[in-house]
Amino acid sequence: MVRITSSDSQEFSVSQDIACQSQLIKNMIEDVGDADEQPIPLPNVAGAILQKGGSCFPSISNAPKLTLFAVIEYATMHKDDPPSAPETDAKPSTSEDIEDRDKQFLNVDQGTLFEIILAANYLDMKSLLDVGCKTVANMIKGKTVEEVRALFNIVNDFTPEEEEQIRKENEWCEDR
Amino acid sequence: MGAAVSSAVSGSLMSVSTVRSKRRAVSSLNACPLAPEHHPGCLDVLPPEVWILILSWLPPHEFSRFRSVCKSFDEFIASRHFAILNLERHIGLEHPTVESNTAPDAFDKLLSSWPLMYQSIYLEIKNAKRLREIKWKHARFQNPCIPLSLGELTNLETLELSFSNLSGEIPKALGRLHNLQELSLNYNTLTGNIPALPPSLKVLRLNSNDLSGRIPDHIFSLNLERLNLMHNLFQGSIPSSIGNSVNLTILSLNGNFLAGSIPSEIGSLMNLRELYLNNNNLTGSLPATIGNLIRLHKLDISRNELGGSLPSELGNLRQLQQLDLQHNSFSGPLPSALGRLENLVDLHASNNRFTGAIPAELGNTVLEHLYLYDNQLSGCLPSSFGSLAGLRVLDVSRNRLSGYIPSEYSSLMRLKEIHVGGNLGVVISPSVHHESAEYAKLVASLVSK
Repeated sequence: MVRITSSDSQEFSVSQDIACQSQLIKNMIEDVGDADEQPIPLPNVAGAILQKGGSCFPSISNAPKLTLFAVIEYATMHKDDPPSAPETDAKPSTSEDIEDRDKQFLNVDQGTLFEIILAANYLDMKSLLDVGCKTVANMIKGKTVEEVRALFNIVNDFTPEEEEQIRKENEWCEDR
Repeated sequence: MGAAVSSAVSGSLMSVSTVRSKRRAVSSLNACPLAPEHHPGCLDVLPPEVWILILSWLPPHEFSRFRSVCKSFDEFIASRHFAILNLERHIGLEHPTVESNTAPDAFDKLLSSWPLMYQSIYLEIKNAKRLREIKWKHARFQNPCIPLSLGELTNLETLELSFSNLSGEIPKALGRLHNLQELSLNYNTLTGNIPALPPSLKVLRLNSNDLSGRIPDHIFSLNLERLNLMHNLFQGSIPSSIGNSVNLTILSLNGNFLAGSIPSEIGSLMNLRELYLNNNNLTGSLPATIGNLIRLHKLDISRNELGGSLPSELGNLRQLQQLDLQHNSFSGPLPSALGRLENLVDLHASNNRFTGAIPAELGNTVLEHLYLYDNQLSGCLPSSFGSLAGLRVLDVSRNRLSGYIPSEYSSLMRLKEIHVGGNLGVVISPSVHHESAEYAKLVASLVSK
């Protein structure tokens, strides 16, 4: 078993094969060795999540441990997956290629989804990061530029000249 | 934010695979610290490298339009890192090397839709730099303009993007293709002028576009063998520098708005086999130097405003098979020197102001079609035409001819049409036996107008 703690000092105890789905944790264990019985601290995860979540997503601003919990849940769900093919053999794929169980797992509000993606990015969990990013990509696909701005609360920061320039370049793909 | 992206994939000359492994490095979450008073959109919640991961899942036919969302999206999508990820996901990074591409695949058709960086990396993974030939006819590009990145394919010898509805200008980048010998961009709706092109070029086909302005001098400093600019909107005069293109064999400037006179320097194009200057607004007379073009097979200067008399030097064009002068204002006689054109098959001289007699010497040619209608020719039909064994059509309507249709014409076995209406009086010869089958056939071929 491996013990990990979030920044708000919540401690989780998970089996090594689950914890090691995080490349970050795997590297840490390899560096430190089994001898060290201290829990592995993940200050950056929760700290970052608190900092960002606090202002953008009030509903989950105090839920770093929930995010970590969710990530562990995902890792548990995937602990028996065969190792992914080496990248040189990777075949072209699309954002639609998401397993049903992952779809269900990521069927959460946008704030939570972003928290999970952030955690996956920090913990270096490629498969979770991929499905998370695919899920967001699917939210973007087929939308107009205006709809995407609204979806993510993005301000159009082009000057009128820049906007005209980019409109010209993209004349052929006028918003559908 | 852009800084974080570029540092993550820094090293502009890194190979695709190096970048691929680097992108897996765990990235710092402190890439975009928030100012306390700043109310963040989602853009700030995820670091740039994660946004690039997200956007990289958008299919290649769709992502470009999201450049308009905001500056950051534009930067992400224009980045090298984005390009490699997106290509890896949707197109794969392994492609066979080919030297010839004669049919664009679904991704090739997206080339001009993509940011330049993406185009370059796409061509890199497709090993396109090895291509010697691109022949894409009837290509339906998503963004119908010429992809700038094609200028990077410096091994190209042939580039053909015809019948593809391409608009916009011809990119200057094509000037970098220093091995290019043949460039065909014909049958599109390209606008603007012709940029500087590589000196290796031998064949240039830009016909049937909307190119405009003056024909630039620089294309005549190339060693072109074929130049086709027909059916564009070129105006101004034909540059005298045209005389430098001594290797030209076929020159087509027809169907433009060219004005002024035909420069005498055209006589330097000693290798010319076909010359098309028809359907312009050319004025002045036909320069005598035209007689230097001794390899000429076809000469079409019809439908201009050319005048004066024809130079007798035309008789030097011994290879000439087709001569089209119709719809001009040429005057004076048809030179008897035309009779030296022993290979002449078609002569169109209608709708001019030619006077005098039809030269009997034309009987020395091998004419099959002779159109002289709507002139002011006088005298009789030459009996020498009886030896034009291949003559099919003879139209001398609306001149001032008189006399008989010579009985010698009854031996013209291939004659299908003979038009003599609208003259002072050309009548059937009384001296031939009207019952002869041959003459009956000739009479039958008389077409009244």
